[in-house]
Amino acid sequence: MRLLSFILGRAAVALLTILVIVTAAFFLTRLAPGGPFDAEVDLDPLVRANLERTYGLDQPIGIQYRRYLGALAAGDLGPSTTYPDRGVSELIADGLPVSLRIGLAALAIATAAGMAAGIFAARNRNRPVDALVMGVASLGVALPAFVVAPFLTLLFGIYLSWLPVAGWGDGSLRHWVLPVVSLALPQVAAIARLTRGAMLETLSADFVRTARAKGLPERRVISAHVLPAAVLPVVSYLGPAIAGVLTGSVIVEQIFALPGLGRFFVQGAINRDYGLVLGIVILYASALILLNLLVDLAYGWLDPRTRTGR
Amino acid sequence: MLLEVSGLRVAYPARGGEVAVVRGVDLAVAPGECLGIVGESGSGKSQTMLAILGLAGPGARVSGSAIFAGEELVGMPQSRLQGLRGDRIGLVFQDSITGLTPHMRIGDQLAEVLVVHRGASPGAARAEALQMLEVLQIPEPAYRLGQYPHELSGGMRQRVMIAMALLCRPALLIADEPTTALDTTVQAAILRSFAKLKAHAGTALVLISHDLGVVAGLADRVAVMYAGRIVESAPAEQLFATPRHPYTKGLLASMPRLDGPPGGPLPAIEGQPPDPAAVADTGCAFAPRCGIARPACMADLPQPAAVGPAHRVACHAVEPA
Repeated sequence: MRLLSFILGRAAVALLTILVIVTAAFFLTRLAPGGPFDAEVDLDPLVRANLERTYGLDQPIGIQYRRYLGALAAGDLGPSTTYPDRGVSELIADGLPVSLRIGLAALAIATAAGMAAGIFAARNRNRPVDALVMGVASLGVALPAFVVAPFLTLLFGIYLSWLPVAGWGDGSLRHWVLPVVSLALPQVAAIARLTRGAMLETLSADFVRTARAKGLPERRVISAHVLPAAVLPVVSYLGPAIAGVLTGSVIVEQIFALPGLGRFFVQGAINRDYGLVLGIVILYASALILLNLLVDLAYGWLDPRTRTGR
Repeated sequence: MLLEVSGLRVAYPARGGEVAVVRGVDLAVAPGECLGIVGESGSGKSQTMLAILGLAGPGARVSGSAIFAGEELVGMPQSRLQGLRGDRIGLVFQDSITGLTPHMRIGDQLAEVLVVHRGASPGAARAEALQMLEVLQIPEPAYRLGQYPHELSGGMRQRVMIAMALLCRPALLIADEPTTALDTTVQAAILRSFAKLKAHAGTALVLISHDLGVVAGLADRVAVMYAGRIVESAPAEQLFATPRHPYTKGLLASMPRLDGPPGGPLPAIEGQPPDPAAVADTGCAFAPRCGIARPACMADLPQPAAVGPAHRVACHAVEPA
């Protein structure tokens, strides 16, 4: 019951948050200079007026806003000016599977590889391998995806010719590897550093000494007593990590020419395709809020002290 | 003897060498006996016990000998020490809030001891854990098994930790400041549990405390530690009645007494316990704070000498018997 009311409360806050985000995005995109029909070629004024009427852009901005919210409440994300024959919902349905697969794969790899590296470094504290792992991790934190991705392409795509340089092809694994790695790398590094620090802190905790005093084998001390406590900061970091992967995907999809949401987002922004940009903003915001809620629930499950009441 | 420690030395690497925190400790515990070890923080009393069980901090250099039930503990591989810890030798630490694993239910933390050492099934282990909580008079024991440490009071947590150490019926229980963080009434109840344990189960007990009062009620023999060495050891009654070492005398004099003269400040030992890095092996470590120090105290390390039956003192000012 308590859990249900917690989730409902969070859902209410989430709706409000999304409304604020939609409002801000709605007015900011319209505030940006230019409009959807300002192409290189000047349009005939009559054609332009016709187009603006079709999309309702001839109306005062307040009315446009009200209409947009009304349609949104009914689940309609409206039309796209870039792809006149397809609605925003349809475009998102097209791009989402690609982005979702890459994003989730990157998160999974970042968590698994990051924690493994962090645990390894902590257990070899102050030995050369620790310095090596942490050195690489520092580099990973410092290098943004738009540097890593072209470098990886150059190395594995061009020099070694092991993997395709760009594109989605048939969606087979070969096409995933480089985008996922570029997306995951900065998060692997961040999670590795966090895990190492948390492991070292937990290893010196009193309850770990108690566990050892009980004569538990070291494996059990680590797996049952140290890890569940050391994983907490990593779980907290997953929220920001998800945000990082989302923003990273916009860049990475562009670099690897993947037909995902990120590319639609960039295209939409360049073409002043208000509907498309807003639709993807709403999706990103919802995903971020939902995943953060999951992170908080996981946190409560892992740390009984954060659960309220009995 | 159940446990016989001789010449135990514990040192940690430090800049330009090492710092010794235990400097040649000899002590013995007979089966069913209670040995009290007293001393200020940093005197090496906890380090002595942690070191022989392989629980000293990373980088610790342990030398000397500690024979438990015929087996040498110093240099014993961790895998074999693990088999002893929690099974033949129980350990209880001072309960700060962090002494029990925060994310594990009490029942699981208790049961795993029996699962690991006895290969007990989780169900059987739980039943035994419940029984042990009953023995230690924890209210609503069945309910406690499903709770987390933060849901228990300090006194209850301490009893859980004691229960954990006793599950495998150890021959020796080492309790390191077991009552320090607790209210006096809870303290008394826990000390009563120890007394019962000693009387009924025949468990030998090493009670480490900075509090002479705690040790006085329970210990058969008392060893007083200062700067990594035992400066005086004697049967408890004798130590409290006729302390011989100036440090022991100072400790006893600084205890408040109900039958003492009312009013006036409590006598205190002047100065501070020494920094382990500054203790030299020449001269008595207590000499700088000692009221009766003589030149020899600064130059020669006093050796423990018998001053009575089972009463040994390391002090130049005390004439051996």
